Amino acid sequence: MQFFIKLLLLSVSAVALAGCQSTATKPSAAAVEDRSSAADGGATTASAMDGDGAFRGDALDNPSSPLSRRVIYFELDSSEVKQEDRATVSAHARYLAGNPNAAVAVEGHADERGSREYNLALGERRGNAVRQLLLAEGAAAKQLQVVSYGEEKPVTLGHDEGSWQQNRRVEIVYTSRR
Amino acid sequence: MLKILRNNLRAVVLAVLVHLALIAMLVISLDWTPKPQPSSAQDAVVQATVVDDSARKAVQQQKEEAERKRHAEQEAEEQRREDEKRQAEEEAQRAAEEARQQEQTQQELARQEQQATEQKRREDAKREAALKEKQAEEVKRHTEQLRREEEKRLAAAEAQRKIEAEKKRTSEKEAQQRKEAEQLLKDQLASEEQTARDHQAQTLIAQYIPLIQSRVKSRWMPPPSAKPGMSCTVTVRLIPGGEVIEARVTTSSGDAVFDRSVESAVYKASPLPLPPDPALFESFRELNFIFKP
Amino acid sequence: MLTRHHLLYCLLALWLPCSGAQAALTIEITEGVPGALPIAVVPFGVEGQGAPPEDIGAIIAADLKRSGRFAPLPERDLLARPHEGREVNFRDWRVLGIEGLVVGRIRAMGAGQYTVQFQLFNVFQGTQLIGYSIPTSTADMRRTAHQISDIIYEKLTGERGAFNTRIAYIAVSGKPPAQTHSLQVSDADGHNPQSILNSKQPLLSPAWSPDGTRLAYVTFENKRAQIYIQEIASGKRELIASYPGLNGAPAWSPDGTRLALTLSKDGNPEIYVMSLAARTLQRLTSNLAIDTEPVWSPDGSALVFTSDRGGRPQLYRMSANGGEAARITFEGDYNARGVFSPDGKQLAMVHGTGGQYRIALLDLKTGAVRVLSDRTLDESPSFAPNGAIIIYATNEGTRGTLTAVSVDGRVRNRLLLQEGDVREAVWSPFGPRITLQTDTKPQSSNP
Repeated sequence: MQFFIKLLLLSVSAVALAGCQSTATKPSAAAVEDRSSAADGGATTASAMDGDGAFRGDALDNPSSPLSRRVIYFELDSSEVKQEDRATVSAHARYLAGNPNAAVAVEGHADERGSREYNLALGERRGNAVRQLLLAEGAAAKQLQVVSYGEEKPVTLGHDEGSWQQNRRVEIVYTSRR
Repeated sequence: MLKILRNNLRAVVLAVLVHLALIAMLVISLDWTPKPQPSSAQDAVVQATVVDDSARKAVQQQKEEAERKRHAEQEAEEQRREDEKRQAEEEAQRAAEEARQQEQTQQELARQEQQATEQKRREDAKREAALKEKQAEEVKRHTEQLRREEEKRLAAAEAQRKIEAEKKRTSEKEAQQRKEAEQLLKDQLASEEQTARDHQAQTLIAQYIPLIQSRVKSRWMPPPSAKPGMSCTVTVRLIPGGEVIEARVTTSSGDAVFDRSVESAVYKASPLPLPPDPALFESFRELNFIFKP
Repeated sequence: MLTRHHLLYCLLALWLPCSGAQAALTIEITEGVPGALPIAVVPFGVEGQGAPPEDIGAIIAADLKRSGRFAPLPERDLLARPHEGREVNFRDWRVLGIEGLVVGRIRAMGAGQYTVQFQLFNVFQGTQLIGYSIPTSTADMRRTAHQISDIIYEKLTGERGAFNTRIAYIAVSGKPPAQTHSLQVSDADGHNPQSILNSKQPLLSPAWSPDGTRLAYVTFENKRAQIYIQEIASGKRELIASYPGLNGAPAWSPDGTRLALTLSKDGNPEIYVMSLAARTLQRLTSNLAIDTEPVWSPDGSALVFTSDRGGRPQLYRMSANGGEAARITFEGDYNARGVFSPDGKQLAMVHGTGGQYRIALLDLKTGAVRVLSDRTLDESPSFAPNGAIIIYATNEGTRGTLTAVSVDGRVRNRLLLQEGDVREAVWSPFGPRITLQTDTKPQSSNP
């Protein structure tokens, strides 16, 4: 059922996007269209609870499961996965191992300090660190795609330690669930 | 020459190859230059006309001409006045000369008259003299005796006088020697004072050099192209008070921007600090500055 | 007869020192003071109908001041307002200590055409250094003003002016996650911005080709880092690098035939050089650390890049053919994003100490580091093509802005660009050298 919905959304957005040209033109503004698929992971459906509080539905949507945690944070200039995050990574690895068609984008980020290109590389290093752990714990290489955004996609724009801490992260984004 | 080439054959071959490669690269790279965009071609060549300074210079020249003419007229006027004065003087001189000549002729006439009367008197006197001669013979004998006694007395007096004169001369000599000695001392002192004054002048002059130096230094902004080894000499003319009225580069550094910075420094430092004694100004009338970063 | 007196006087005459004619005193000056040349730019006179679209005198004064080499007299302190040589009384300017005087006038010729005349005088010598009359139009008037600034700058400093140049930068507006990223090109003073590329995804690392016609940049429009080269005038572009992993930090070789870049396709970020004609890659670094941000020395013989092979990011230098890399930064905890000065003697870089990130200059011969900027999150330095000014990005409260600082650090301006976050400005190379074609007879300054 969900697959069908995904397919419908895909075709609708494809039709919509086809209407827009996406070339860069002369010094007057050029618009580059977002050619990626608009549907990444699909809309989460409401979680259904049965009578005795046990979760029914996709494990990925269970708010009390470690799988619901998708963001891992890092220390300054470090790409080491902290001990407390190991459990989260293991959970995702096991889910991936159990669902061979599931796939994730491991998105690496960095805070704004220092140079942009170095931060791009740092984000990738963090993503790779998480990827290594996932592989070690059962995920298959073809299920994992590391992308780094460096400091370009912060979640918060502040210039203080609190904001920086929130931006030094890896996000596990499911591109396909099963 | 050939021997060197032979000994370094490898180097020569490499050199030739490098040159060929460079030429090749140049030839190839020419093809790579993208065609210039229409707008940038317009940028490259701008039609412009030179604006020169001749109008301003012409006006300047005119002013100077007028100035010069006024000076010339002034001078001519002065010359005229001078000539007139001289003429008047000559007139007066001529009048005085005439007067003098007249007086001379009058004097001549008077003298001739005198001579005539003189002649007459002399003849009268001769007659009288013959008479007197006889009388005189008598008196002579008498007086001869008196004279001999007188001579004796005079000789004695003369001797005395000689002795006294001798005494006076020695004392005079001593006085003279003393005076000379005094004068020597005075002269020595005078020359020492003069040397001291000159030293003082030199010291004062020397004291003002660092003052001038620091003033010019604080106003010199050497351009970034200034390097050790460069040197520029400027000759500066001052007027009393230290104001710079002319600054001329006499030895260029080879860098027009450096030379200009040096000229500006000297002008901006005007008026230069000078010792207040106007007698010392001569040493500062013309100064040479050597700028050596 | 010769008495002792006479002898004495003769001797004394010989003793008296000779105080008559002497050689002129010579004084040596061995150092000066740093400073900006005091000049005056008198607002240009206007002839003809209407007010000209730009205040050329103000543009020239602002240009010259921004270079740090000149101190233009503020307009309110001008004692006189001549518009041409005939009206100039040099004494007025000498008393102010002014060394150079710029006067001019703009004549409207009708239909948006103008003639701009200017003269530059050496005040102390009372002579004209240069004077031109240049035709222009409404659209070109700012460019003409910058051309005049370049002529004056070159005459007075002996160096080529870089006022008639452009900058490219990234402008970001909106808030995450819905931001718009735009690659823009403007005049070097921030005026006349034009958008080259708009995207909903991040853009980074713009880089000018040495001939100033193209920009290479990194774009995330396909949800990952890719490198494109785009021709500015036509907007045509092509994909240059889309290897697995990172594609970043494009840097043109000085001859424009190669691109150094960072790729992590072989396991971790390394430096590669791509021949643009053949599209072949040559790998230059090989270690487990991050190697990125390559820049070419102006003679093309060496590359400087950022590497954390020693622990934290520092700058390293290696031959353009690869091989041994030598570390060149030893001060501070963090040194990255090096750029060469046009004369190849210095590097500007992001220099981090104690949590503060500033722009600093590294003298390549002595290793001395001189900090140039004064905030805490400064980045992306870029030299003007004549090496006199550096622009960099800084954070002004919530906004990113661009600041221009003279290379001796004395004059700093914020470049006022449009609203939004501005970052990663890179200065274009020199445009083609302007030749003033004077085939008509020179005219004296008009009444």
